[in-house]
Amino acid sequence: MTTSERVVEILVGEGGYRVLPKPLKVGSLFFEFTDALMAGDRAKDLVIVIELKGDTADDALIRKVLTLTRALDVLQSKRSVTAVLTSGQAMPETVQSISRVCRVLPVGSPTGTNAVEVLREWLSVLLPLSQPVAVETFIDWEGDLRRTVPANAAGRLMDELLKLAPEGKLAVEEALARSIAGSIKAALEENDEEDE
Amino acid sequence: MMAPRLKTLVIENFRSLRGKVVIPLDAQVVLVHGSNGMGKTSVLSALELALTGKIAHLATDGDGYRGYLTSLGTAGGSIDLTTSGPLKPDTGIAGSLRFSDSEFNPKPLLDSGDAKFFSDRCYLPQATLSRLLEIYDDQKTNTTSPLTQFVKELLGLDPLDALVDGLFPAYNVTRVRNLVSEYRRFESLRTSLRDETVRNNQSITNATRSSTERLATLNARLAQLPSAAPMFVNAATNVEDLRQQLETARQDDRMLTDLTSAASELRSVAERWRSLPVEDTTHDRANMERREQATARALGAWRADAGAQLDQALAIVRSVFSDVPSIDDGPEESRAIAQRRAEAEARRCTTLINNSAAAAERVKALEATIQRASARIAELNTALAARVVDVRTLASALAGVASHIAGENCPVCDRDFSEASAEPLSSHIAAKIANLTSEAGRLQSLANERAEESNRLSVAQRDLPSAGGGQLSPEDMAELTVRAAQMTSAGQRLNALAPAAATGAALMAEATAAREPVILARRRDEQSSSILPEIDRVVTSHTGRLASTFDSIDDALLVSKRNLDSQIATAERTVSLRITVLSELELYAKDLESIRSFESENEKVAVRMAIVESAAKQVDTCRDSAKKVADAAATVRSDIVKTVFNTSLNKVWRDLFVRLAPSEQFVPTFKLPTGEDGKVEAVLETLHRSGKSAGSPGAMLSQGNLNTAALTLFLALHLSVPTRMPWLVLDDPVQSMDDVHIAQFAALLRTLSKGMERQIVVAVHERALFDYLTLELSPAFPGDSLISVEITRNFEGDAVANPVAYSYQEDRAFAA
Repeated sequence: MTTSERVVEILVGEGGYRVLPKPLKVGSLFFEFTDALMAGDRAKDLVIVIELKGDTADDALIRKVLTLTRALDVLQSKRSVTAVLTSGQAMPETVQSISRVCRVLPVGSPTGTNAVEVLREWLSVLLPLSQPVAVETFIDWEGDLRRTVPANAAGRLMDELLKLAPEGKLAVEEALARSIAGSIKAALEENDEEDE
Repeated sequence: MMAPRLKTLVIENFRSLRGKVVIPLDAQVVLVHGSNGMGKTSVLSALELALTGKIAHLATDGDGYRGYLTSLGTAGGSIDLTTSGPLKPDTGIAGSLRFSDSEFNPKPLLDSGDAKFFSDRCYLPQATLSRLLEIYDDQKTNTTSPLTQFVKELLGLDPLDALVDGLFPAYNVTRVRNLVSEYRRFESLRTSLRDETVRNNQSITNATRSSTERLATLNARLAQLPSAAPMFVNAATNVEDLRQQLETARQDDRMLTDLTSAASELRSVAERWRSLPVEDTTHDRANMERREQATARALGAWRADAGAQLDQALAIVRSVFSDVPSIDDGPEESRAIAQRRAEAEARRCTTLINNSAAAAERVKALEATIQRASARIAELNTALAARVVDVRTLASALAGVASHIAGENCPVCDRDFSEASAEPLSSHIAAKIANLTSEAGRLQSLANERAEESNRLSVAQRDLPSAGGGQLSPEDMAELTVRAAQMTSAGQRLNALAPAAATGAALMAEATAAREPVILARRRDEQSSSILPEIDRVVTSHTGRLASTFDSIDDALLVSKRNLDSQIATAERTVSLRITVLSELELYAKDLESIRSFESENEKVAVRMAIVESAAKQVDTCRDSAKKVADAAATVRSDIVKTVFNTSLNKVWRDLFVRLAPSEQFVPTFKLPTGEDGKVEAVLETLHRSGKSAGSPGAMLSQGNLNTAALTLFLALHLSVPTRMPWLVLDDPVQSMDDVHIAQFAALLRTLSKGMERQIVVAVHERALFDYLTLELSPAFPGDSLISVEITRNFEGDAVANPVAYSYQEDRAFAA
């Protein structure tokens, strides 16, 4: 699978983009790009995928992108254009030139085990943001704690401590103090009576 | 229900916004633009004030900023904010602030909890952005870093912290003591009970041993005691009965008393016997008689010859001094006294005679002095009477006049002196003054001499009466002269008699010495005849024999004493043995008593000990449970932290960061606490895309990407917490991002607005960026909305807001 094909796959599969028919027709003009995609119902991105091959002429490429954006301006389109440059390395001047008129993602051709991941990160700006799982939903400290505490330590004291924990350190400390004081109270009182 | 939106913000005379501006906010995205100094930051600050009542990033330095809210040259201002609906049921939809240089009257829309949430999580002021990484990487040793604080709040780990920290004392007995004030007392009670048991057991052992030993001694002593029935003691013996038995047998006491009084009688008889003088032999007695007679004769001869002469001489002296002793008082003593008296009297008489002669001489001299002084004074008086004028006064008066003399005219009488003399007046006066002065000197010396003479006269007259003392009358003079001669001669005679007197004294002593033993012998004969019957009686009662059957009286007394002494010794031994036995018996009884009391004490202590030990066990159980709970809490806490960081926060942050900086090889991340001590202390670091950890963000990222890291950190934190309000306010967040980042940022903003349904308010200062964002964020679908506001100033310098609302327009380039 080529990088450009992977780009299309990710955008369509994860971003809800649809592939525009080739050649791309804007107004009365036709443009030849490797691929062209349009965002779904949430955004108005127009993504063009350009493969940089051995015979790609950078001047022609720049002219083609400028013409496209000019055509969109003429039609008063508010589409924002993103150019994804795949395969070969993009010349810095080329990126510079076209980034004046559109967003440029010079992804090249990532290789290795996490090639897909790298590509997805390049494209992530075009993909929807997922609301992170609310922290609260997987925090059940009390349940976790009860599961962690050994059985012989569970009991009235632990229940009281867990109940007081949200009130802060002092409340817990006091509960501990109460428990210890309660244990020794009888012995001390006995002693006081003896002394009297 | 749709989430409430910020709707309208009305600002008057607030900081750089002079005059009144109305800013509509009721859109999904609001872009605020103004070049530097126009007041776009003021708009966001006004929004914060209306929502929270303070400017959080300024309030950390105190409330001083409140005095600088009013625009220069205005009396005061106000901020009013409305929302499209209440955030929570029963809360308002408006917040406001009235202020002037002296007034600050906020009525914020949000309560304090929500206000803090807004300030921390929804509003990113420009000042905070640049400090954000710093804030979150702040690793102070003793305080909780803001990041740690955030993590704790976010995760709701406070209860676990409370458990871990609150149960900490359970691990250490010292802390238990500090925590529970009675615990120390409890511990010392436990120790003291233990000590008491040990002490009691020791005492029982000691008492048992000593009672056993005492029993052996006691039985040994009892066996020695003379008694009708043999007595002994064992564990079954009634000690009190035995004691009474011993107490009643008292005849040995009486016997000892009788023997002691007999001994003292014997002693007194022996004493008297010994005091009798030793008897002389008959031969000695005759000798003594003879010697007595011989000495008496010699003395008689002396008395007739030398004694008579001495007596005569003594008589002469006694005629003047009647107390001079006689020859019988000791011839030598009386002679010596008489001689001393005679010589002393002779000296006295001579002295008196001499004194009288000296006094007569002195009187004669004084009388001469008186006569001469009187004559000289009379003479001087005559000399001084001739010149009674005070010449000295006249001389000084003339000297005063001398300075007034000019020429020959007398300054006193005004007559011309040249008529009287050829000598000049001034020299005449000078000579006169000289004469007068010398005359005054002579008169002065005469007066001095007269004073001396009269002084001499008065001294002599004063001494005269006393000088006559010591003079003798002629009668006395004659008598003293005679006596002096008499006494001198008596003294010489007595001196010559000295050897005779010594002989007499020796003779007298010899006679006395010879007489003495004769008298003593006669007295002893009388005494011994009276004491012998008594000795006989005493000796018979102690030896059974008559004193006369012994070799001598002394032998008889010695044997009696020896018998008596041995009887007394026996009696004393018995008495002391009995006393020893009684006291031993008493000690034995005490030993038994103390063993019993220690044993009963030990039983009581054991009961108390059981209670204390069970309490101690309870405490141990309690501490043990507490420790296990604390351990579990620490484990759970670190598990939760790891889970949250790995599954949530780092993931979101990374996602956001790579969107804005897709080509950056290092991604910032929170490093997790590695230690198992459970403390949550997150630190910042970067991870290479390959997963290898690298240095801190400050060291690894470019300035632009650091800014990106900070911005995405803020957004990640914003997204990680449960949403309390759907607002996100960013003040110029893209200051130093390059163009690529800005394009990505625009996409991110749109994602947040559309995907996360946040109402976004962004202030930007760069015109191009403002236009670009306006384009990027303009509505793409029906229902989307965007408001852009430009803040400028009119000619008067008042702030002007130009809002533009963009609505959806169908895209003609592509069919939807």
